[in-house]
Amino acid sequence: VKLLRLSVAGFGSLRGEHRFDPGKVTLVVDDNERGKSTLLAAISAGLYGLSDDRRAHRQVTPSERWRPWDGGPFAVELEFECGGERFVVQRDFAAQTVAIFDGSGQEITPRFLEGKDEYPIGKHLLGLDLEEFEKCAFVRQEDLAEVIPFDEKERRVNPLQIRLERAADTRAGNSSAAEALRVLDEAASRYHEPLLDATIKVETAIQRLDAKRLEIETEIHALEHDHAALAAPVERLAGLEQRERDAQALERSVESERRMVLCSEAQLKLDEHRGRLGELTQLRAEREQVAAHAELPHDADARYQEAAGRLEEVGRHAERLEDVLHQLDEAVARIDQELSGLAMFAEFQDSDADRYVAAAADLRRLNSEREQVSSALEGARGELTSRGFDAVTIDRLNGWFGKLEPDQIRMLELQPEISLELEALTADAESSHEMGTEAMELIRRERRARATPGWVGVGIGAAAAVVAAFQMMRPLFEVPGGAIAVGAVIVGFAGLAQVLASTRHRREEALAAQEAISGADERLAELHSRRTDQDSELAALRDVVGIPDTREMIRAFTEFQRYEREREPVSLLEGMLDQVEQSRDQILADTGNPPDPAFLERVAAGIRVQTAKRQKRAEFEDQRGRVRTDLAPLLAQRNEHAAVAGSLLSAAGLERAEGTPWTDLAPEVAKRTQSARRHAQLDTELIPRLEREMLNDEMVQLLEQSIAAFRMQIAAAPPAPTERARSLADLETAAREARTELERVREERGQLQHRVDEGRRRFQQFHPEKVVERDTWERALVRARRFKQAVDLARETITQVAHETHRRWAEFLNDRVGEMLKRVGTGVDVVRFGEDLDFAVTPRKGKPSSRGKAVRQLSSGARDQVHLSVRLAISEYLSREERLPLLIDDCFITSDDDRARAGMKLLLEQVSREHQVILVTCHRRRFESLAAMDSDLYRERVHWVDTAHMRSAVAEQRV
Amino acid sequence: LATVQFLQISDLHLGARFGWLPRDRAELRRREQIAVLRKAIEHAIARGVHAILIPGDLFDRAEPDPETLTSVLDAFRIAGCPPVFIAPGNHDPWSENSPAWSARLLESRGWSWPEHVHIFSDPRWSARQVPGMPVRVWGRCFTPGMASTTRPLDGEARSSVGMLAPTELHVGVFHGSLETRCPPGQKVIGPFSEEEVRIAPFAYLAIGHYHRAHTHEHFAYAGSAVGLDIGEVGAHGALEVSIEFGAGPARANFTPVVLDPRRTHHVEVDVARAASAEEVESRILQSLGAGGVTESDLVKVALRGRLGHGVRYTGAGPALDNRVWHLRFDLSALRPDYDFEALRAASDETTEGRFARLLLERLEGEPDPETRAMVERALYYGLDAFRLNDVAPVYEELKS
Repeated sequence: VKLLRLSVAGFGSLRGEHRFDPGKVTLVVDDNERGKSTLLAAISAGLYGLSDDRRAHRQVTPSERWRPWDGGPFAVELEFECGGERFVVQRDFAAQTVAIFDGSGQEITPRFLEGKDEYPIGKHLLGLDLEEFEKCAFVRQEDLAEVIPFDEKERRVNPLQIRLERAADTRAGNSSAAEALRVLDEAASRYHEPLLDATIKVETAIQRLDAKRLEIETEIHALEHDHAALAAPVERLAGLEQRERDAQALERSVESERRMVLCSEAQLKLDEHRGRLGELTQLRAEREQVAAHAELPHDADARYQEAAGRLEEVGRHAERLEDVLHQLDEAVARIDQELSGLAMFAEFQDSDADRYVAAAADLRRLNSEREQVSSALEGARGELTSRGFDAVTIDRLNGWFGKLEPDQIRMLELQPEISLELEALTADAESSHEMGTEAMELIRRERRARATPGWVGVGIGAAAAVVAAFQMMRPLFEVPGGAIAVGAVIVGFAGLAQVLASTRHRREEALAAQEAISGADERLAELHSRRTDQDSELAALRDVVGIPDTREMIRAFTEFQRYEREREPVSLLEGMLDQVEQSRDQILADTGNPPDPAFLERVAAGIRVQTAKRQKRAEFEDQRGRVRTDLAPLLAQRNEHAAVAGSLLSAAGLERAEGTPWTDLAPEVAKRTQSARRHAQLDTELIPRLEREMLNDEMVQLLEQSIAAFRMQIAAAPPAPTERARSLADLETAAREARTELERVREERGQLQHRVDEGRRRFQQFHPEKVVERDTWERALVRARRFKQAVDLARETITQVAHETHRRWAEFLNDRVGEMLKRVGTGVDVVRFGEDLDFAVTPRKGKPSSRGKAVRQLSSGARDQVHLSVRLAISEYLSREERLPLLIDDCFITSDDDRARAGMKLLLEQVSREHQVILVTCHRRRFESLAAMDSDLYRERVHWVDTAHMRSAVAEQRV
Repeated sequence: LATVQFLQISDLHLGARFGWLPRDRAELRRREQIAVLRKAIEHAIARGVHAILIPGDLFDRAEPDPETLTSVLDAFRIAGCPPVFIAPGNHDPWSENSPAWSARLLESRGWSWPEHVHIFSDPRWSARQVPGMPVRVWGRCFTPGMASTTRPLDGEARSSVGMLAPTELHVGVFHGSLETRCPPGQKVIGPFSEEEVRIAPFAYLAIGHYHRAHTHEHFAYAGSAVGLDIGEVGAHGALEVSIEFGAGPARANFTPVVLDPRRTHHVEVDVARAASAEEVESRILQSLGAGGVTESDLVKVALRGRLGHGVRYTGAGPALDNRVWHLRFDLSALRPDYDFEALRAASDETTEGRFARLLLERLEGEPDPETRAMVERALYYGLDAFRLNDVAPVYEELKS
């Protein structure tokens, strides 16, 4: 943006036309407090207009602030270039009109309309709103001071980072990242939760909400659990209800049944009464009938019955004993006759019978074994013969070897092994001998091959010696004889040495081979000696056996050994047969009878029959004695019982005919005795008792009435049918039990119903409330969590972005501020910004120091220069796309002359080449003196605007 | 030709908690539910209908509170009440242990259903004659633990009905979901298709479960008898069903009967660039008036648009007091005055600009709606911190 002209009809105290040269620094000079800052505000108003919004400006609005006091026109006209285009903005703040023209003079006002009636052309062209524009373009005196606060306390709470951010980070707001983070932190730490009725940290709110939610959840689960647990009581309740109905029905039924029983009992009593009346009449008549036998003893029938019974019993017993005695006599006679036929066994005892039976069994077993062994022996012998051992062969073999001693047999048995061993040892020794011989032969051949050249040398030496001798004696050629002799000696000795060396070739191996040959020869000699001894012993044995040939003897002995092995079963069976024969002979010797088992058994049987008969006869004799002893008292008892029975018959008025059994009269005696007892019973017991049990007439009437009443009640409520009638006591018990059951069921049902109702009521009352409450707390929890998540994310993102921004700012500011400070010529070499936008200062020839320390050390001029450099660098950084003009308000008032000069040179030579610079000042003389010092530079780069002169001119025009 | 008339009412959900209402209003709403039932019975008596059909969810849960239960039993004892056929639904399934349905348990407390109320207690189809009419009402109940995918009109279910007497009109009553038409927020239980309805052996089907009324040539949902949720927009009540039969195919005619004394509305209000909370409420009042909302109605107001700079709106102010019986806000589409496009297009290097662009980039690449909403909230809180120098928890209802 390049500002070209500002015409002010009235803006605060400012009036007149100001022209700017965008290629130079416009130095606006005025007296102090004459409105030089108003110029900057007028430029801003030209681009953005003046707000009259009292909501944003409570005390005084910008429009009110800049309205001329004298009530004159209140308007400005600003001409400027932007993006290669020229614009003219006419704003009449009094009439609230705006007109915007392009370079051709065409009005383009509608292009910049925003909202209802605002035309912020600066925002449209620069992309910055008013506030942003002022922060980027304006460099006010107070801004410089704010870059680094002078007050330490203020500096602590409002660090440079925030200042810089405020000055720079103005794209759409006025908060720095640090401030935004602070706001977010504050919001997170002052979270208001109405449910908790507290303003607390959002984390704490989440914890409390979650805890409360869990608490309610637990309560809900407890309610649901309790409610689920009601299922069983509900089921039980239904069962109890049925039980109650059953108990009620049972009680009614029992009561009805009880009435029925009572009715029956009353009827029974009545019936009994009537029955007794009839019975009494019958009994009295009966008493009259049995009065004839009233005097007979009441136990006459029993006594007669007993006497007659005993009489008959004793008679029967005596007759039975007499029969037995007769039978015993006959049996004894029969046994005596049988014993006479067994007289042959009179001398034998039962032990003899046992012995004969055992001998018969042994004899049968031995006969069987003998047959089996004989058969097996015959088979074994046949088998032996089939294997080539007939009798002749066996006799021949036994003739040869049967007479030999055991050591001789042993020698024959070992003979094959000994022969084999000798042959093996002999072969081994012969092999060693042969190998040694071959080795020796090889060594000899090698020695001969080596000795042959030696012998040649010796021969040549000898020949040369001969030639030398001839030469010395008679030279035949020109070679001296001595030389030939020397050569002859050398060759001869060399040959001799070779011969000697050959004799020592493989000497150790030759000695070893020689030793092996000698050892083998010795072993062969020893084996030969052993074989000779062996042969001698075999020859002696041949003589004993009678076989002339040793090999034949060995073969026969081998056959003999095979015969011995094959014959073993035959020998075994022969031994067994001998044992059987011996046992059989022993039995025959013991029994002395012919060897027939059947005979021995018959003898044993005869002996046993005789013994049995004798025992039987003794038993019969014994029985006969006992029977005679028993019979005598029975006959005496029979007479006694006959006397008793006769007397009783007489008392009853009866007589016994001879031959009539006593018992035949017993029924009549019993009948008459019964009549006597009946008479006594009727007279003393039955008739008096019936007379006592008879009801009186009143009782009879009462019973008849009760029966009628019961029948009516029963008809109204009949009892349930039962399998069997119960007694009144049973019914009373049943009724009591039914009542008890009913009361118990009712009590239990009441308690259970109360419990179920209470459980349901509690569930239905509290569960919905708790669910709603849980949902409410859940929603609050979700809200709090969402808030925390969002704030955390915003915070993280701002922090991340701020770090990046700070880093980039720091790099730019480091370079640019350092460059500017060098040109200004402060005592500062380097200003180094960190990522937190705090900075360190390195003074010339000094060490880096922190910002706080450096600020205290720097002079106010140097400090202003640092601030100006920082401010300019920030403005440059923020306006890199569209270069903004820098509108500077007396920035060197605290600098000394040298630094002010350097600062101006920075603006003139550096900054103004990239930005349009408009500097307003009230220090006319100072800048005139600076211009004098750099007259060429000022002439070339400064455009002077003296507003005091302009004011005078305007005043004159108005006058 | 004969005509039979039914009053079809369902999904009363008696004893519902109405947890979304304040406690006193929830209690009042529960009383209104009972009043609606009584009003329905009185209407049926006045209109002389032959039977009342209740295809499920008479109660909100399997164990209604005693007060609700006794109120219902009393309601059905109104003199002149026609026969009632109830097919318990998924909210109030029939079981031997249900305090509402089990005659045994009711009797243990000295209660019982009136004789003219028939409750279908079999999950298979069973029938009961309408007294004095050649009409047979078939029904089936839900039972606890019944698979929600059990199809009430599939081949097996149809075959269990058997051969029907052609001289009678056969009407089915059950609780189920017409596939492909399940409203949002409701789950599918006992599904069936229109094709299954067409081949079903019933001339007409009275169906419950969907809370929005829907009629068809051969079946109808009466919808919920009272608005049970703020989302159940419109009038609620019963259906008067008149079926002509005897000559050719039966034909059903429907007459809606409004019983709920309150209507539920859903009003969208554009509050874009509203300069203050007062202006927001002014626009809301304007929309309520335009929508015919009365003071006895329930309203869900959805605010949308970007508020003016620095304006925040979190809920009803005094201007809306007593304007409606119950008001709920949906602030999920309400946004502060931050222009995403401008933030995205800006190329400034300020912390704020880069912060906004970073979160906008993340927002654009984030597929999960929940995370998007969180990122958007973070963006707004950050911008509030930068620009308003003040952050308050006002964006938690925002949805992406």
